[in-house]
Amino acid sequence: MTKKIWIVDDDYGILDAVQIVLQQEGYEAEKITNPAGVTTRLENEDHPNLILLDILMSGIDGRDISQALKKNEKTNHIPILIMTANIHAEKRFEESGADGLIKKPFDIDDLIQKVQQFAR
Amino acid sequence: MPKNPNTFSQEMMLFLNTVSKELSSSLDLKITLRKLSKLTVPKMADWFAIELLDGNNELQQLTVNHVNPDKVKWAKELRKKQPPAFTKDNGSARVIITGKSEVYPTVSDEMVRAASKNEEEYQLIKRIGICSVMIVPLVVRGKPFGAMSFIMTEDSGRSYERKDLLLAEEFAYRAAMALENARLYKQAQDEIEERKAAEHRLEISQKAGHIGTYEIDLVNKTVYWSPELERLFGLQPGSFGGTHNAWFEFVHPDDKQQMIQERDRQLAEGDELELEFRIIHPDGTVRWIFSKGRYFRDKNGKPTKTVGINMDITERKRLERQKDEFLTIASHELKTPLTSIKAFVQILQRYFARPEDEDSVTYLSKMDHQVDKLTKLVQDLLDVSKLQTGNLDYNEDVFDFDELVAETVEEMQPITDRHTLIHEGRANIQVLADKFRIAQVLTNFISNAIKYSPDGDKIVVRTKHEKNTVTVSVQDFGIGIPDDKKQFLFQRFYRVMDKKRESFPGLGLGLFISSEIVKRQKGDIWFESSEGKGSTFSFSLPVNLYKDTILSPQSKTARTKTHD
Repeated sequence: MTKKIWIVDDDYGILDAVQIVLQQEGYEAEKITNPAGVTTRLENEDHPNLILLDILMSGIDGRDISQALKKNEKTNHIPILIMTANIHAEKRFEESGADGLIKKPFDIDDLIQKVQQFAR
Repeated sequence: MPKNPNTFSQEMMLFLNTVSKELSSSLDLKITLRKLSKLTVPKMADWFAIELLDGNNELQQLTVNHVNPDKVKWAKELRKKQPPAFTKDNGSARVIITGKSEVYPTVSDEMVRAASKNEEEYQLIKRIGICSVMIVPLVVRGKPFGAMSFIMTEDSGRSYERKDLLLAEEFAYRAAMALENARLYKQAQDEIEERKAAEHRLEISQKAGHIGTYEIDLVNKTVYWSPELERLFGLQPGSFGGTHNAWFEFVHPDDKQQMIQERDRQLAEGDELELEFRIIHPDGTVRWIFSKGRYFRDKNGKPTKTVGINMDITERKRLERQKDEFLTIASHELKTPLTSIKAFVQILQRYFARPEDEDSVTYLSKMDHQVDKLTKLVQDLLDVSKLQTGNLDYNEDVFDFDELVAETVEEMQPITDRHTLIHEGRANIQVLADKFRIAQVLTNFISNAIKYSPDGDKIVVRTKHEKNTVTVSVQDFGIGIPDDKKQFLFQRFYRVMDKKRESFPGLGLGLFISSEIVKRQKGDIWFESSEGKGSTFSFSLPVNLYKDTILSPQSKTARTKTHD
């Protein structure tokens, strides 16, 4: 079955590029430009196999989303891969409670390898 | 002098009583000298002079008095023209040197001629009309420091006898005491003045620099604060309670425990103390304080006293925070477009990865390298800013040292088509360090080796493991470093220029960052270089700190952190 991946970021360039890469790798990759809507969508839709999550997005902090999903019994099984350009990337990752970290800018080979590692 | 011996003795006693009374009434040197003159002239002499030996072994005439003021003027002129030498040829000097008084009841023409250095001096002495002389030393604690000259001139026609020396010496003894007291008094006054001036300077500079000083007596638990320190803590000068507890009450509750722990940690290591903490003023204002001090201990090593300064660093903290926020944003804003450029370049590389599109792949590969370079520049700038504020992140982990070197060499080879990277030696060890940062140092060494050996064709990377150290060195055969430039190499923003004063590209941050990283990982960094022949840059990491982590291949996942 095709694995479903949500890409949550506020930068259209990154959203497009990551979507193309993942689609080429055979994933069903969906761009999410409204990070605040992630939790609502998870209540009503099928859960993705992985969420790629940015931290510093306009008006919203990726750490809050990650923490909320990990606290919720219904969603804490969804793997979250933080992708961030933050200078304190490791610290932010630890605070987020997410499963993995990839620092921007990344090699698409590394991205694919991390996605393969965490998507389930 | 008086002819009747009894009358003389009585007069002498009376005179000495007056001398004692007069001299003890003032500690001022000028007044004492004036009194000595008045007591002497005309009663004991027509002419009176005191000369003291100064620090340069020169005779300074402090006072001179004569019944005839004109004669004083002549004598002063002569002294100005011909300053007396401190030799035995000079009467006062001789008395100071020998410590023995001299008396000349009559002064003959021959004696005047013998004592005169030249005709002018002879004529002047004759004009003054000296007929009898007594010179006595001024002695304190057995050491002569000056001389008093009593002279009779033709003005009165009196002359001294040997017995007059008794009175003169007794007089000189009292005068010496009075002069010494006046000198000590002046010295004490000068010291007080100097101390007052120093205190005033200190107070002004403390106020200007917002620096306060403290002294804490750890035995009696009492605390001294300078007025500026009270101001720093939001108190009126003079209102601080003066106890250890009174001070500790100001420290922000959230910082108290950490401050005590940090203080104890530093005290275990030495006597210097440096702390940063927040305080709360009586009006509720929160301020940041930087404290630097020194501990003093008793013979058992127990701290007894601490002395130091406090500084208000609230503004510095605010700027640091602002800078950190700016860096966070700048990092994000610069890296975000780089991320998508890099991803699209790599997507295109894959897209064109067909035999007929080899050129496109090459061009895209070049673009990819340029994006990497830009990323590295951004990263270097951010790292250097973080190093300044001590915020560089370190993530230590156990890794295979040889693997890291091999991977880095492999990654760097495509950067150059002129040089072959040769990897020699093995460490055969797992180490606990920040793998990413160590790779950053090695990458910096190799990219420098490439950059600074434009005509070279090989770069040798050597790894070795000796005793408790792993060492990597990178040798190039390039331009080398002139001896006079070697000291600057690890400085921030320093860039090498070649003989034509042409600089090489780069921000001059790589080696500075590398040395900071290696130092933080408790390692060493160094280089050897010979101009025109090439350079070898090396760094080593201690493995004894990680001895528990020297792992067998089976236990590779075990992790033990043995230092901060």
